[in-house]
Amino acid sequence: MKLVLRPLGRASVEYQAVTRHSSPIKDAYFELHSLAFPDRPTVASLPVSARLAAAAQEIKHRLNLISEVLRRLEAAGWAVELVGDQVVASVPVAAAEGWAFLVRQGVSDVLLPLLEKGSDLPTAAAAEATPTPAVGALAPD
Amino acid sequence: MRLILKPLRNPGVELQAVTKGPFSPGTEKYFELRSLGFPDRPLADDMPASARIAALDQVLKHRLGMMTDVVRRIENLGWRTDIVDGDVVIQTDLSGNEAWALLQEQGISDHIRGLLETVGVAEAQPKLSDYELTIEDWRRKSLLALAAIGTLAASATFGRWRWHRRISRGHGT
Repeated sequence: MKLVLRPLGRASVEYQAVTRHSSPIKDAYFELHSLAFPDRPTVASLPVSARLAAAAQEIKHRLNLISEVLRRLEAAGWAVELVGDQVVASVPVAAAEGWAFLVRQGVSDVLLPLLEKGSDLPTAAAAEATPTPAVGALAPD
Repeated sequence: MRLILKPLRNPGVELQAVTKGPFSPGTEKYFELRSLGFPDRPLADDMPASARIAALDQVLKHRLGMMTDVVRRIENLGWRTDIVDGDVVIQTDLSGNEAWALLQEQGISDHIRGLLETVGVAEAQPKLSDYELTIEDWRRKSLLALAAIGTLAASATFGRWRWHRRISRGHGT
């Protein structure tokens, strides 16, 4: 079984990503940041510093998450390699068995949205029970 | 004046910076600390991928945090800031010397200079020469001040020596 992750996207993609999808957490974050500016900017007129800060938050959270998941996989004997701008984690077992292990470890839900093209996805039954993976979410445009 | 900052480099380059040596002193120290968490105490070259990703997290956290703070202060000065192809472009109508003087006043000139050097943006280099000029001016002024202090000290010593001599002559007579 093979999993491919891309910890870091292209800079322009990372900066755009912070305003691409709205979420209550992001809205609250930008609202808090806007208090520091006299003209109270909105998401549509976001200052560069606020966009940078938001991108930093997103990247920090993602890298921390990936690092933690990889640590667990390494401890379980998976081979983890950095190849170019991707992280490839592999183990000589079938995908179903590998995913069953990830579910047992409690990292399957965390891992799914981070997976890139080339990953062995869970079986249809398991996929229905878990959120839809955003494969290639950070891939260059 | 125009400055260009590159908060994030190519993802492959960023990962390589924590994969292949020589590592920055901060990353080296981080790996040394992380190695304590492994029973075989791996060296920087044998560090697991999870620790490398964590190191990248640390590096970016520091760099992006610093840049955010610097850009926020620059925005407060009323300078124009834009994101162009992943780079942060900062522009002002002030001349290089005026702009760097203002950045020095704000206490962020050294921070910015460090960030420019880190990313090695060619467009920003000519602007650094303005800063170098400012530093040269400062050095020249410091040397002049030192020379003036030295002259004063020498004349004071000479004056004291003459005074002592006069007194000793007075005692002698």
